[in-house]
Amino acid sequence: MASKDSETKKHAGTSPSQEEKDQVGQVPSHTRQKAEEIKEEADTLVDQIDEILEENAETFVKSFIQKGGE
Amino acid sequence: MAEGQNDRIAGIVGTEVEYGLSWSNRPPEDPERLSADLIGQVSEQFHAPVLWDYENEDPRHDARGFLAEGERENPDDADNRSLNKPLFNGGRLYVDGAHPEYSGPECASVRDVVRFEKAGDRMVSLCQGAFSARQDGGPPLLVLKNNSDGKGNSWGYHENYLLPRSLPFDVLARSISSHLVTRIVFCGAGKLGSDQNPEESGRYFLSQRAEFFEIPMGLSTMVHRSVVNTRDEPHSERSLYRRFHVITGDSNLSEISTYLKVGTTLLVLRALEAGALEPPVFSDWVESFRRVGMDMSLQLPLGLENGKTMTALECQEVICSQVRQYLEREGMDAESSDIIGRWENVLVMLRRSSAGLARTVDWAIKWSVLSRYREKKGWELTDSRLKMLDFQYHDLRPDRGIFSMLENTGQVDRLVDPMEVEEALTHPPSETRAYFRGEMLRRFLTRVHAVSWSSVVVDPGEGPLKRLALGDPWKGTQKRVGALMGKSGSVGELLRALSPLPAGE
Repeated sequence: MASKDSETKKHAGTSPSQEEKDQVGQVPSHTRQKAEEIKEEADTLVDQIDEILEENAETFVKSFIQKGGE
Repeated sequence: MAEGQNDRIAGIVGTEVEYGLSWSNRPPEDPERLSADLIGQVSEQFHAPVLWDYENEDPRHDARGFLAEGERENPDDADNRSLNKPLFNGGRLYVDGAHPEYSGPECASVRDVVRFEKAGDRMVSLCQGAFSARQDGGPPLLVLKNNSDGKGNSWGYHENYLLPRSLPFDVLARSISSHLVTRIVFCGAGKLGSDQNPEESGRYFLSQRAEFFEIPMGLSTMVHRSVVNTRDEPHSERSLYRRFHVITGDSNLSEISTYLKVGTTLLVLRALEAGALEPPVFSDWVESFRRVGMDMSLQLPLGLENGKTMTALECQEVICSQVRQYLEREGMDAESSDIIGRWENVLVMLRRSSAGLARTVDWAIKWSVLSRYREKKGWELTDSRLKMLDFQYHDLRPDRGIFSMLENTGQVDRLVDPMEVEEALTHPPSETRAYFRGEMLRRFLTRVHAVSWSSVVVDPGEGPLKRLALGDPWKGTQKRVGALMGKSGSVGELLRALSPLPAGE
């Protein structure tokens, strides 16, 4: 799996331009459906993680110090 | 001699997992004590209250032919009991330094290795649950199946492969090195941020462990870690066997990653035993290992002894194809056929950056989750909440572990049925001496004084204790001793019936 940063989504949150809207109109419906499914899955995953991620992340990450083992 | 299906010796494998342990808001004051308290919670269903027999233990032997300095361990009975929990499944739960550790029983199939390792995770998770239930408030205790704390400390995951003594160690070391260096492309557990270079805190690594390796070959596992470990403590008949101790691996959560890590290594060792492998060899094993461990692009060239270069993936493709040719010449059992097929498949998926990796390969599963979560939140990769997500991927609490959540919601692939894992909590594998050890504990518990990998010490009722040597890991199987054990009403009767098998002292 090649390194894929998520720079492509930099514009997330801003409203789509007219050009982007036009492009959406041209995408075949099954592709759009697939894209929506992926988006839904991502939303679900974020909710699932939000539910269980420890709230005191910074404290844990700083204080998790182990003696070397083996 | 070995009595494997085709007279081979290579074929018995066991794994050891050390777990990270911490309060959610501070490090433990006394991690050794806390580890003992944690494993002290193990259920009587799983744990046989007998001693661990240290008589045959001596990890100071070096495969290059000398004995390192140091003391042999031999705790008194009270410490022995608090530090060791021999298990009915033939394995051992214990305290190793500052960590709780589980050693699975010796297995004759890779699928069993996965099943028994998973049973160990489940057992430790149950200990965590019991421990937390007894706590009176206070911060939760986290138990992580990972290998580094992000601050330069690492703890282990070790594999043990039974090999014939006749295979010269220098040949073995040289030929296996390239596989150990490059297999992390499909069995690295991934981590966010370097343990050693603060400037790389936002980089995603394939391997938890690779950064910690310093020398090509050596005996120590705690300092100056080596790509090929030379510990020569066979836990079996020294003149026949070697136990090849692999310390380069990451602990995996993905069953598929564990299966591939152990399965491919076993096939490589079998091909080596048969003299059928001539892998490319890297000029600098340590540098190559570290480069593969940090390279998510899979593009970094690695220098070979012959002056050329090769990527990790190319090296894997060569080794895999040589093993395929060997298996086709020799014939293969169903499991070998499954392993080689999955191995070829994962290499193709890596070549194509296939989406399927995010369901099977640990580092890719975790990266997929991290990157999707981060994208939604708009956080930097250096954000401590993402490092928390990384740690929590390995969290054994069933309701808080990220991998556990992915598994329970069908977002990753499994290899074994959860019911088979449940069975592995209480019953030993049937095809190795672990069967004899586990069944002795189950059937004659009050007459067993102590066990170890290579012995069962029994109290025959009259006269001194008797140490039964389990010198051959291929003996003591259900097929060989199951019926005898079933028929014997007492230990005395069993000893008479077994004579001379297994060899008594």
